[in-house]
Amino acid sequence: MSSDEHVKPLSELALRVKALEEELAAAGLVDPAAIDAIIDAYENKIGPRNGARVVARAWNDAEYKARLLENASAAIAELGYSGMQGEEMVAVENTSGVHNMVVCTLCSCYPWPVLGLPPAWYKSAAYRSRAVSDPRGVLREFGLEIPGTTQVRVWDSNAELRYLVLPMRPAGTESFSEAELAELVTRDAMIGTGFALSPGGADAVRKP
Amino acid sequence: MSGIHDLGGVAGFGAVKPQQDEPVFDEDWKRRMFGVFVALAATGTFNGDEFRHAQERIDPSVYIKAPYYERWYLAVQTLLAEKRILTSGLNHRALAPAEVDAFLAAGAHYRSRQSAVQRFWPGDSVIVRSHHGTGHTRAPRYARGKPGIVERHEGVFTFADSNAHGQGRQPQSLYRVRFSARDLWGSDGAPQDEVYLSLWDAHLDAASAADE
Repeated sequence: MSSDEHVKPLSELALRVKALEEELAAAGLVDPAAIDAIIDAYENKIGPRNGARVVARAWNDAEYKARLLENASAAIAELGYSGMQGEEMVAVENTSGVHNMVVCTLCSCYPWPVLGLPPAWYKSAAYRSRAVSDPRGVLREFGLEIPGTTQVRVWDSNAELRYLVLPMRPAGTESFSEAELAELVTRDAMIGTGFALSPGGADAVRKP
Repeated sequence: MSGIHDLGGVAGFGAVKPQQDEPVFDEDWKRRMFGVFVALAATGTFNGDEFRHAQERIDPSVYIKAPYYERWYLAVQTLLAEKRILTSGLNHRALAPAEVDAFLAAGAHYRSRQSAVQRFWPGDSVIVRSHHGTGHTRAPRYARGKPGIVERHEGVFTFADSNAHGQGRQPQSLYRVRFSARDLWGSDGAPQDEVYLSLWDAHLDAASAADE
């Protein structure tokens, strides 16, 4: 159950949304069966496993990685992912010298085709306000300590470009298949609030 | 507008509380509201910039306290009323179930094929204009008046600030602009860190011009 504070009882909100959908359906503006299909797409089909496959392909194939960094929209579309809230994609690569992090301070813009819908924390006032002004403090709240020798770059998604972080490939994965590599890529690693998992299963820990 | 939604750098909201494995929608009304929005957007009832601006005009105390999808509900109601969608007597069209996958895969159109003036080039020093009017703008408060370096011309894009007011796409050049954390936040910013924004021609002045 969400711990949101709210100004109206939730049951009243639920009734109001139901009434809105019914009014729109009666007016011929929406088809509830289409709404069912939209919900199904984002609950069951479109999610971070898409982005994980993009990252795994980039780790596995240097030419794909080069295409991804040059024109992310086209490279991501090669894997069949495209469209709403991902029309203009940019991939930003983490290295030992640079850690990238993505936010939308003005609302909640997020690359839906590769990550699905954003988590509540990404949409929260706490993240939207502090990701740009105190990224290292926010990353500590995610359990990440970025050393002083690494630059943090925060990408504010204020226009229609959407960002996918390409996390660093964990050590010890040289023999991994693309499918096995994809298993290591977490949603948070592609936003920049996590690292990819190490082969042992625990998050890779960045040593200073 | 310098509204409550413009949260970059605002203090007082406390720690981020990440939750593991949360469901995409934790309540049914939220998933229905999401679906209603996408279905209406798909048939051009409103554009995304109008939708954002309608959220920005929610009473500030409601904006901060309301569950996320209640803001979507309020914004959709505002747009339906302002555009007289339900009272106009015009024929309406609903997105059909068979059209959903194709619509989601195609998305909307923001990059323009039109050419436009390119005022800035990679390496140029720019200052973000201080004033962006009382309507919708995607130039956040924390960057206004701040110096940045143009890193890249992203292309020519629909200008969100005008598209939100039904003034048409008015495409203009969009730039990737890099800001140092020190310039944005003073000594509170880590000296090596940076923030990147995508800003349009109308948001920027050349640094030398602004100094005059």
